[in-house]
Amino acid sequence: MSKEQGEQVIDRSFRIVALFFIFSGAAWLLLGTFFASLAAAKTVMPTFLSDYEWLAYGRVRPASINALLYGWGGNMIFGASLWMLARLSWAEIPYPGIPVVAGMAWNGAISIGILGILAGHATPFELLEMPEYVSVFLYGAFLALATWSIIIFHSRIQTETYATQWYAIGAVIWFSLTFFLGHLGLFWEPVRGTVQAVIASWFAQNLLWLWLVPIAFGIAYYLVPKILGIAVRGYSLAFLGFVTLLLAAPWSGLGDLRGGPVPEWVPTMGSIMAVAMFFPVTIFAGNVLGTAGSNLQRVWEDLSLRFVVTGTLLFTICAYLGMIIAIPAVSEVTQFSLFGNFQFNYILHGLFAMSAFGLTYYLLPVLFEGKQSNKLMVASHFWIAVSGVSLILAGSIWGGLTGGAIANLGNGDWGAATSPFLALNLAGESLLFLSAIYFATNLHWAIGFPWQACCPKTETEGEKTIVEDKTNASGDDLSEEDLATKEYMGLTAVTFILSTILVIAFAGVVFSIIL
Amino acid sequence: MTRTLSGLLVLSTVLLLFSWRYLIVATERQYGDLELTSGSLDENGSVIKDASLYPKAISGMALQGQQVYLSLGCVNCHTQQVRLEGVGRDMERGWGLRPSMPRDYVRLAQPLLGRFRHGPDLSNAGTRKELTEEALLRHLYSPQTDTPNSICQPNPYLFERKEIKGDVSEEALDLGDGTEISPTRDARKLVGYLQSLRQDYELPEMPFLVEPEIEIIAAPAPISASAPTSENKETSNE
Repeated sequence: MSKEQGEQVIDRSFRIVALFFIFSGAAWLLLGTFFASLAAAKTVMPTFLSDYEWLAYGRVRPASINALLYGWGGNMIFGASLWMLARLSWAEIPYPGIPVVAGMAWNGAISIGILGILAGHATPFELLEMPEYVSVFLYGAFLALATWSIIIFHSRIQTETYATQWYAIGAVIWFSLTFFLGHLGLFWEPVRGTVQAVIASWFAQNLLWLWLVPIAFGIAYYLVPKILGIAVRGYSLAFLGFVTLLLAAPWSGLGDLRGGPVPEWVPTMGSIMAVAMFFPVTIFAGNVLGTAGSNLQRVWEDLSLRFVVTGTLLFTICAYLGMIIAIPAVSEVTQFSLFGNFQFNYILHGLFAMSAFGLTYYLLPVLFEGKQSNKLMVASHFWIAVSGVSLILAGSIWGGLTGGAIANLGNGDWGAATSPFLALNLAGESLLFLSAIYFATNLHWAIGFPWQACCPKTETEGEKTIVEDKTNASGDDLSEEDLATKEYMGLTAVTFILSTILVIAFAGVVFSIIL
Repeated sequence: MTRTLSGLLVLSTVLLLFSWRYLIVATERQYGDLELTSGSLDENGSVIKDASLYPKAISGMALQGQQVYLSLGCVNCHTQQVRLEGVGRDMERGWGLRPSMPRDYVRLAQPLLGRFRHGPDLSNAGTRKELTEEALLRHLYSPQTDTPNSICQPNPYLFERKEIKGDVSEEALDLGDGTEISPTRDARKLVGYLQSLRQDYELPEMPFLVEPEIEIIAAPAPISASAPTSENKETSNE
């Protein structure tokens, strides 16, 4: 079987998973950006819809953030990482129904969580506002999906691994540990006093930098060389980027506690590590932008690449600005200001969403026999997404510096100084809502409603042939030796369960040592 | 390391747990067991017997009010921390007599430090003389009435509004337009909580840095966070 045929087999096994996660993600993106626009409108007109308790700013804002992070981010992460792992590991998705069921549980848990926030059950910890009662369901669903990632990776034929695989597997481990330890320290065995603030910062940084960012990195590392047909520039440094990201990121948000009721070394370490993010960001940017730079015209003409590379560029610029602003002398100006939204927005809307859009537009024709949306619609979506996120980012930097200077260095009223930037933020959030509408429209344009595109007949055919295909696989990049030594192992239900238990047991052993 | 599944798993886990061990476990060990203390210590460095211990417990009403504060998401716009001298100008603004210390939060199930100041800091909301119960209730009902440019969200659902028939009802507030608002229990809890917010005691590790009386009386405008200096045009964005 040729490489193309093998890829088709893998892709066929992935169809139903892709449909589910991409459409769920799009739905959450719509809801999340809608809530974000509503929250932004309420900062401009505080009396807007103020009669409804469940639409209070303090409820809509966390609802939007959680819908975006867990709903949009989570679904796209599962979809993207399962597919990239399957392709790179040369393994089809076993029992694709199970990740879909786990995804349903995940989405159900988030729905209850968002309703819980609107009903006033939120926790005070940022990016963890969903009430504690949904955590177990979220975590269970995540572990099931995590098991699938690991099974796919484990069943790979090649011995060489690629950066995308490290990041996809890393993200699985990091989310599992972060979510578990965060709940342990904040809810199950809560630490006292302001140690909670340190854990909350650690948790939020990990979720952004070690869950969303790695998958976005993985998408860029996968798509850019693949579409351009060239090797990644300076790839030998990629592993260093992986390690330094993991070393620096968990600490990098602590600068927000400067001057606060925590030991002074905590925010100091935060600033140091925020500046140390220079290494992973530079290596990633160098790899991806360096590779893309070799054929800029092609990058611009290919709409998927245009999304991914522009997202990388936005991320790189913002991450460098973030490092400058993390220097204590500057962060004392921006502390507690509008700048507090900057990191979330550039990671989620600047890097992650752009990469996920790019991957989706690349995937649709690949998975569904050339079906794709109108090129003009996709290009319009690109411009709307870029302008929306740019407005928000410009507003939070500019507004953070001007408002923060008055609030932290002066005596006066910073409200008047920040109000134009709140309006700018509203404009940006509205554009992002429009961008979400465009994304959903493009999906619909390409494949109609998800249930229309689902093709159970082909699905079963694919599954039947797959085991035979696999043993005969002689893809271009597989040597005869690989095939001889690595026989494909049929995956049984026992292996799934064993892997899950192994992961949990491994984590348990390490905890008991460390704690 | 990245060639095998176990290599990747071990590498990822160990490096992440490194931050957990040297950040979270380290802070927890450093000050996770802070106790209550008297305002100053005796010559042996131990807590003075029979002296009152700080931070004091807050009332049950205030504890319930914290839940209301949390459920309305006030923490999205208000901090509860006075920063150290030299970081920002919190004490100059009259938000506290001294910086907040970790010990100030040991009684709280969930300290609400906050990351945003769209409005003023509330660490010492309970010590501000102008923030009477009535002023707070009116502010919660409609912040724009006392501070026109405020972006604080009105909370009409915490009140029942009706026409005044004869005299203003007991415990209700006259809005001046023929209607009155009577606060619900949640509104009273929230006000009880706001009035309980006070770091107006000295700790052995941190004495007052600002003279108490002068500072409190000097705060002029109702509700707003105020700096004692003369040229200020006061904060309205709460």
